[in-house]
Amino acid sequence: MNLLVIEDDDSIAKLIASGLRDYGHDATTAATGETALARLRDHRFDAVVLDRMLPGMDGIDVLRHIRRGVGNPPVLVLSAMGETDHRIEGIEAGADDYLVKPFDMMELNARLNAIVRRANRTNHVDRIEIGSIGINIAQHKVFRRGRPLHLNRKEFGLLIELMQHCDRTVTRRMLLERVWGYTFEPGTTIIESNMSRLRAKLTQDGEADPIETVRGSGYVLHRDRA
Amino acid sequence: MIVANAAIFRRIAPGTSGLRGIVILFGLALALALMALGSLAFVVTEGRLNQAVNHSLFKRERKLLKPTPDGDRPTLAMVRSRIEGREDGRTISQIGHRLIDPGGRQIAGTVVELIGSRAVPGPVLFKEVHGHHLRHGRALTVRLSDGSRLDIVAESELIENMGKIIWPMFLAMAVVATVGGIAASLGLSRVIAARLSTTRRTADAIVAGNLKSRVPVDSLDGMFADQARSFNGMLDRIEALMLQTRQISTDIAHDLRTPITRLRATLEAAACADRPAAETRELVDRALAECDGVLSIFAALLRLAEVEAGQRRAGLKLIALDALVEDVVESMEPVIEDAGMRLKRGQIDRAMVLACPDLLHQLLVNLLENAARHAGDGTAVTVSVSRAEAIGRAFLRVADSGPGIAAIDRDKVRRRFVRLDRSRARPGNGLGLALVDAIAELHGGSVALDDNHPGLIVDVYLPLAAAGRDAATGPRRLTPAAVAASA
Repeated sequence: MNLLVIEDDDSIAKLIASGLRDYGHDATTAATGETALARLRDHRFDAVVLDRMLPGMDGIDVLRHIRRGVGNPPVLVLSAMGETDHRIEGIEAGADDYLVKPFDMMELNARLNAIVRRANRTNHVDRIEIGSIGINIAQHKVFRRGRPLHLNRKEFGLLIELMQHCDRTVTRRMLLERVWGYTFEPGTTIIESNMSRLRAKLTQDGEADPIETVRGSGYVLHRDRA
Repeated sequence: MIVANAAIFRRIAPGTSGLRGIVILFGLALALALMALGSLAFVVTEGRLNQAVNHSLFKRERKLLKPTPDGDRPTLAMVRSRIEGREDGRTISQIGHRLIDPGGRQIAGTVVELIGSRAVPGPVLFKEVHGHHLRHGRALTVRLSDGSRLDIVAESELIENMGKIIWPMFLAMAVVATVGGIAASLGLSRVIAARLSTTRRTADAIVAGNLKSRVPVDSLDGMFADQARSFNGMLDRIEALMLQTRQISTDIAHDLRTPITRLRATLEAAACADRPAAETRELVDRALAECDGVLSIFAALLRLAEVEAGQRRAGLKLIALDALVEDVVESMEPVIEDAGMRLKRGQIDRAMVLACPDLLHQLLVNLLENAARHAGDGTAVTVSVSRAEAIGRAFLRVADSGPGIAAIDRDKVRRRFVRLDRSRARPGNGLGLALVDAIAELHGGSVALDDNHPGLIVDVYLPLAAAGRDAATGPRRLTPAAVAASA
């Protein structure tokens, strides 16, 4: 992916850019909102990583300009401010995702993949089929090899998230936000415990486990194991 | 030097100088009021006395001009003899007469000269036969039908004398009142200044750094004692808050030192050059986990600060507590099972509350996480929701059958960073219950810890939303206030 990183702190900008290159992306940096808008006029970017606090033109203002401009790439806002008010302000200004500092590169990469994929997905899907797993979102039904599985709401939500981002890492923080809607991080194994129930149900008849735990950060659902 | 001395004096005896002007004004006001009162008393008394004199003049007139038994008017000679009959009692009656016949000759009475007399009683000057000068009096003049004239004169010496006595007396009283008033005010101002100075000395001591200083209440009385008690109460609160702030900073420093020390040691080990790559990798992973631990303490502290600042109060929504509880129970059931415990649903009644769903989720997740960490293998935790209609509260209960918390520790565990000895080895940052407390408080609720014999009961009381009370009995009606608040 071709990414634009708007961050005024030079060392953080370099760390983010090099981290994203490690994941195989092209990353360009811009230290101010004005430079960033100029780069956006001249080049096409798949997504933008935007620091909220910028000198001069504020991150939220930059976001509003991006939303009015051509191309209109998906934007992930980075912020040191985690309070709900700030989060809401960012989302309302048109951010596709909001990530509170500090974060790790795996998290940033997973979220960028997710927002780009979501931006490219044109129509709303009601059914997803990956390998032997079929899911009907509207009817809340899941099948493996044509046999129905009884998942509760959380297990169902986890499976949808993993299938929508299949072959990509979905982080714990993303799952907490999307499946639970929590802005806080519980201290216990809420994700792990629920995930283990989902995996048990997916493999109850001796099928292969399509889900892999990515150490320290999240989970991947592999198409070839599904 | 003199200026400095004056400043020192003012510092020692402040307030009294400011009161001096007020004291003099007060004394003057008192004197003026007394003068006004005296004048009023004089005018009223004089009027009354004049009336009394007038009355005796008319009475004498009626007696002198009393008709004969036949009903005829008395003749001049009869009037004359009546006057002469009265003149004997002159010294008693203090009323004199003058009868002048139509020819202008005085034929009876002791009054020889009369100035200013008219047909109605009024002030006059008169002289009697043996008198040497004109005197003040009141007189009444009657024209008889034959052209003769009768004057009746009363002395008004009493009134005159009263005037002479009363004015100096009032003046003396005014002087005494002014001096007395000033003296009393000065005394009062000194008493007030003395009372205030105890408060001031305490305030000065606190400014100087002695936070333990308090106003001595025993030496004070009435409103001064009340004021001193309020002041001391305020100082207690400020001191407690300062101690709390100091304690929190110390606690944060202490709680972070341990993981940061471990982090440093881990990084130091990882930096060792001749270590196999796999081992280094493991050390780096451990260092990252330590960092995450530190960051989670910060996240919890920031969250606590956010909740305590009450920022979320604006975004409260009308939500069904029972549905929220079902949702959390569904999520936490596997966590509790993985901890070797059972999660049971108790009675779950419908209860509507005005709340921030995210925070209430966190509250319940925190309570269940606490149970999962501390209750122990083989125990059970029960969640229930009920309504206490009488006090307008919904109450959410999380009760476990673990070891519980001793009564003396129950208040302690709600404070930040407090972890009981037996739980120190387990994960957690000691902020969970402090956050539960803060979240309940933000919603206008409260938290109570109790004994489950065995185990711990945590009761969270939340105000029932108006619609919640209706929901139990009939179709749900939203009050305008609830709708506005949830919008």
